[in-house]
Amino acid sequence: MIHFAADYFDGRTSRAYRVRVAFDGGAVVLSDDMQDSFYKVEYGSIHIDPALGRTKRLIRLPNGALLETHDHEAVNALETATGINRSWNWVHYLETHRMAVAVCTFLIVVALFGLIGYVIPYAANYAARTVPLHVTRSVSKQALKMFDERFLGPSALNDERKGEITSLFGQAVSRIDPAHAVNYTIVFRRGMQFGANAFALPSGIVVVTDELVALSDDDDELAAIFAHEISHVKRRHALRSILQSTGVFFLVTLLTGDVTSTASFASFLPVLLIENGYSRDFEREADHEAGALLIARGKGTRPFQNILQKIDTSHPRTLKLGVFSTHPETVQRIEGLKKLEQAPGKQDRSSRDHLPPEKVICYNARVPGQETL
Amino acid sequence: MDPDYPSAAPKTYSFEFTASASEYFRIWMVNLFLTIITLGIYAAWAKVRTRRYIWANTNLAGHPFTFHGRPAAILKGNLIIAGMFITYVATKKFEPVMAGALFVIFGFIFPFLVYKSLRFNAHNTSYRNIRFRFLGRLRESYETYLLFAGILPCTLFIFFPAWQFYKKRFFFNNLAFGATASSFSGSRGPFYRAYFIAAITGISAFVFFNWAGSYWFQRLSLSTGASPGTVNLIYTLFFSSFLAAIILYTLQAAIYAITMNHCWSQTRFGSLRFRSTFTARRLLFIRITNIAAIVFSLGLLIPWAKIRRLKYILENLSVVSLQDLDTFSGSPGSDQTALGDAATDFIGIEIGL
Repeated sequence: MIHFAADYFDGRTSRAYRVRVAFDGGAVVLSDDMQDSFYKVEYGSIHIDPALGRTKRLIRLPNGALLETHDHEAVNALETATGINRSWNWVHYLETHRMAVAVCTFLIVVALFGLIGYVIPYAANYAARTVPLHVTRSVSKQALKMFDERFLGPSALNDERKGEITSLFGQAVSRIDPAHAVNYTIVFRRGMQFGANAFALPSGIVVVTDELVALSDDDDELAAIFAHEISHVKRRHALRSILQSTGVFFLVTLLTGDVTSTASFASFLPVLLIENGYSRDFEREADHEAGALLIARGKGTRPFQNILQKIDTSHPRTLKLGVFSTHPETVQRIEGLKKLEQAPGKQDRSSRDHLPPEKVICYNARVPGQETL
Repeated sequence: MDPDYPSAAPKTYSFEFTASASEYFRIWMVNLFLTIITLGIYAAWAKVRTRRYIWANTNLAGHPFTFHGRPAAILKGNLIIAGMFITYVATKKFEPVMAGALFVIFGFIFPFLVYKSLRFNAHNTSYRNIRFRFLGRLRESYETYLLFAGILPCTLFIFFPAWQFYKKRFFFNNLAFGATASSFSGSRGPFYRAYFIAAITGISAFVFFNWAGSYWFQRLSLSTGASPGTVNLIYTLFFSSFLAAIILYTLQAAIYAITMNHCWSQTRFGSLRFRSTFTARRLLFIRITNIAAIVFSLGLLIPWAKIRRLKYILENLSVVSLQDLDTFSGSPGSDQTALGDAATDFIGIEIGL
């Protein structure tokens, strides 16, 4: 026999009745103050809300009435005797054992590292490959239009020089992404406050500034830059970065519960660090591929290192933001290229499509879908 | 004085919030773990558990509130929101021109979701086994959240405080506890007052800090000789984010305290009314210390912060009633079984209102 006291609410009024509840193995019997039983029901037709912390236990009766009690032991015994909620009590078990909570905490940290470091990048990479390149055409055109209106000016290069550079670009395309060569076009602009720079739009438009052409001492330097930008397009970095940001946003929403809370405000910084980390991974991938191409052609990574250094010096006011930057610092990029050259065995790594993302984590005001140098 | 109870003196009952941060922390952690390993599916079950815990620890006159929402309904709501979000992101990134059109479509769906959300929350809440209901009409939801929202820009946002008032009225005027419907006699005045104070304070704070900031910036760059880039960065980060956030929170706290105190004091359930004693200073203090606690604990104090805020809100709210709290009756037609009201259980959506 299980006995306990409870408050009984009939559902018709808000009045509480003190009752005694008894369970004899078959039926649940309620009796009032005078020990008169007034309600009897088979245990199969009652519903017990699963235990939750130390909050009152609730039993719902088939007549719409509700029992409220603080007697956790008795209700636990009732659950054990009747088998009600057997499938739910493991959650309560986890919640009430410190060790289980500690294990959950540890596993959450592991899962977050796994999701951010591996699952999201791999899933984004996989998904990006299923999206045909032409869906990015309209957004790329718009981005270029916006750049033309706000930042860039018309190129002052003569047609002859443009022709030379275009054929150089064509060679780079045929070496890196010959299967999709038709998608690529090169566009010449004056950089204005952008200075010496190049960037790729996801549909395959590569913008190169006059200032960059002027800065380069030979064709190999330009070819290295082109290879880097073509690699961004080939590897779908713009699309993958959108997908990865969406994944991170989704993850943050899961962690903080909703998008409007204090907690989600505080998550602004970690999200920034994660996304810039992804961006730097992409830069490294593109550097790697461009470097490997130069090595394969017997030129070494020297021209790429030189042009990177010159671009860096031509932007004297650039801040060294470290983890807050979308690009690795030039020193690190040059270091990476040197290493690539010293370890020729690693060359084929770059030709693999799935590079394991290295862990780094950051920001600038980015234009959606644009990959700068 | 209510004529039915001429001789009775009104009794005051305070809300009592008994949730413990450590207990809620464990529930939250297990919820997070299960949500992450199920890639978000469990979020619906987690929400039900969280809500049940919060409701069950909200006591009035010795009895708790009960949340009856079902995970399946919340899962449907989550899927709808996720679907809308993905559509929006995809459109914005690939066809930005269409994003505007999509925004308009969502504008037409939103009032329906608000209506569903208010119904879901009210119908799935009970006290002493008497369910709450939300009696607002879909038509009023469209007037409030589409029509009034749409004409806002035309009024140069002068209508904004009034719009906030209509949103609150839609909620407070359409509730029912069992058979007892609420009535709301609030007015636009306090809303205009709150937003006027906020606007004046906000503008003066902005002007003052801009002036003080540029003065400080000049002195610093002159005296330390630091590169303008670094100083510029510190200046930008500090002033634009940190101070803007503090100013914004101050204004939000002031607006919340003024408008919510007004709304609660003007809401009646029969002869039952409310008294609330929120102060902007305390709300602001809780908000800022909560954010600091969350940041410095790397998120581990999120449950503590949530409980702390809720405790403040609930314990500054009380009920004043001539009628005994155990004499309310359930609504005659409403379904009292554990299955709930199937129509309102169809989708559960959380919309921060």
